[in-house]
Amino acid sequence: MTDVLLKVRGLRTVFETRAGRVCAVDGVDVDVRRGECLGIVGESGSGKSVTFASVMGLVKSPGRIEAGSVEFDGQDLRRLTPREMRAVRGRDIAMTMQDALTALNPALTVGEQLGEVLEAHDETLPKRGPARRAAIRRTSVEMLGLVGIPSAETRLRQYPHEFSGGMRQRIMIAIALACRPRLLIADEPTTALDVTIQAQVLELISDIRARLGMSVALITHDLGVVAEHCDRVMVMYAGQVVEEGTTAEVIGAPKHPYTQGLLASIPRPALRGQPIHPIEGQVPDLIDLPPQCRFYSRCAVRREACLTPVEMRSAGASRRARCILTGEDDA
Amino acid sequence: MSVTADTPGVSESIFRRNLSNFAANQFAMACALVVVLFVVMAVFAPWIAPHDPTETDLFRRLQPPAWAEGGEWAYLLGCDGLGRDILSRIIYGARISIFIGLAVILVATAVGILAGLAAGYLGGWVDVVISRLVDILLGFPYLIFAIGLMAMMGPGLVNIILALAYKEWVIPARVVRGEALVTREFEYVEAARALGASRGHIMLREILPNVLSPVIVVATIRMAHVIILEASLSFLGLGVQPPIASWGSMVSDGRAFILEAWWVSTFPGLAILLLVLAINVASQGLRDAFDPRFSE
Repeated sequence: MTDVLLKVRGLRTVFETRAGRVCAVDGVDVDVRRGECLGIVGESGSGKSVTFASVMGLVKSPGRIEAGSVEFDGQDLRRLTPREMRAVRGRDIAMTMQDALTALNPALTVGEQLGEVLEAHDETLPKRGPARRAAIRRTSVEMLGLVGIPSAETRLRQYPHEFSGGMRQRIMIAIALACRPRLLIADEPTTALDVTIQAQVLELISDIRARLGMSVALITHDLGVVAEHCDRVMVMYAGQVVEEGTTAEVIGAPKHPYTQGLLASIPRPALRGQPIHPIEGQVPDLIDLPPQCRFYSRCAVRREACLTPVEMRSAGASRRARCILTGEDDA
Repeated sequence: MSVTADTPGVSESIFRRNLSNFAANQFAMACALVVVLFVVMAVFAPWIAPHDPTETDLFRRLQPPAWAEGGEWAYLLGCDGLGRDILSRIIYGARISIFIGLAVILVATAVGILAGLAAGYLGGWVDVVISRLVDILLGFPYLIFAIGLMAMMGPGLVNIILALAYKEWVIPARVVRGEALVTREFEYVEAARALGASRGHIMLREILPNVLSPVIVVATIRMAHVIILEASLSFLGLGVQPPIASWGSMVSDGRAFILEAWWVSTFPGLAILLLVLAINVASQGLRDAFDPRFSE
């Protein structure tokens, strides 16, 4: 048994649009180890959500996975039939959506929505009859308790509109965790919440991760969140991974100019009164990219050598960056 | 914010809140009550009707209503050309109108929901096939389509239901397709997929409950339409066959004597008017209650 739970290699997901082919994910490798929390950072459109939608087999038309392999616990997910893939979703890999306010069905009670996941995936339940219903109920109450929702018995009979935003986010996490998945993909779990609730929800995910021993892929655009909750970080830019390493290394000594720029643009108390430094320029159009470093147009240290394709380069154990100024060529 | 939502332990679905909105609309409630009375009348017809609706009595041929000269209180609304009691025939006729109305709407709504969900959620060639079929059916005038089918299949209760349902299903199908197209983009549908839900489960469990309100409103409005269509078919002699009483055929029977015995056509006509009007106003009330733009 290897240490790596999810292993993605050379993933390429393209969208055929009227304006041309958009290569939203271009040759991405991801490793999520057992029990770890991997942070995926990048701005909007950098391909972080599409990468994990591809992992789940949930890329919407006109998008499709063009190349690459997705291995989960030694099993190639891309070879599974739709039926087999449905069994993996929810049971082995669960995903929470970005917007908790719309991710719960307004027409069903929270209890019904929790019960459905258990109904679909939990094989430890009694086969049928009142015992099955009682078991579903018991597990549902337990899950709401786990995410810190008081008086779970009554809350199960309520509808999503009767809960606050933070509560709904917790319910969504409870639903995702109901079948004790081995990997939780948390897609911006806190964007719709205010800061205090954000901290609570992230704390909750870390806490449950430790208790259930699951892995978490935390998709975010907030490096602060990553610093506090993740073991390792992967920085994405324009559909490619530009840097990865342990959280301390990446945040302490960023190698890629983009990561450096991201960190420089975070306001901090020590620099009070000084202007913050945004990264100049725009993310390049993903249609018809020239074969050069994708950060070239915004890079402060660009040079002629950057006009050729840049591969990931190693800079120590499990530390890689896509910049010619780092370490040795990985390939 | 309603009071119940703040009370711990008492939970309220959007659907139930809509229903209580409806109850607050008094005129619509009164009309709903009229509809209920018609239904009660239809169900308990044998106990309510003063006479046998098919019993002829030539001595009472074209007997006027009770309050007119020559009328009798035992025959409140008078008698028709064969001396049958008009009130009893109206009471029995309610069975036909309401039964056919309900049956057509139930069949059409069930088919329409399935077709609409499939077209809206699955999309692709399923949507193309269903939507084109809907367009084609919408191109035919309803009554002519039904007359043609009745001419092919022959008269009879089941055939009327089929002839009307053949076209009626396109209405709920279009409503459901449109709603499903909107609903399938919501994140909870994506979330359900991410948790391993099958397509059937997503259509029936995640999408259907959210599109049900407009379907119910449309179904009640259309029921009034179907009742008129059934009366029209019966008026043309293509509906249920004599001696079964149907409001449409009663209006038709009275045509010959409209000048000397106005009551033969008028009372069944009024019955159609009253029931259809009541259903329409009640369904307007339902629409107002279910449409978020009308509720605060």
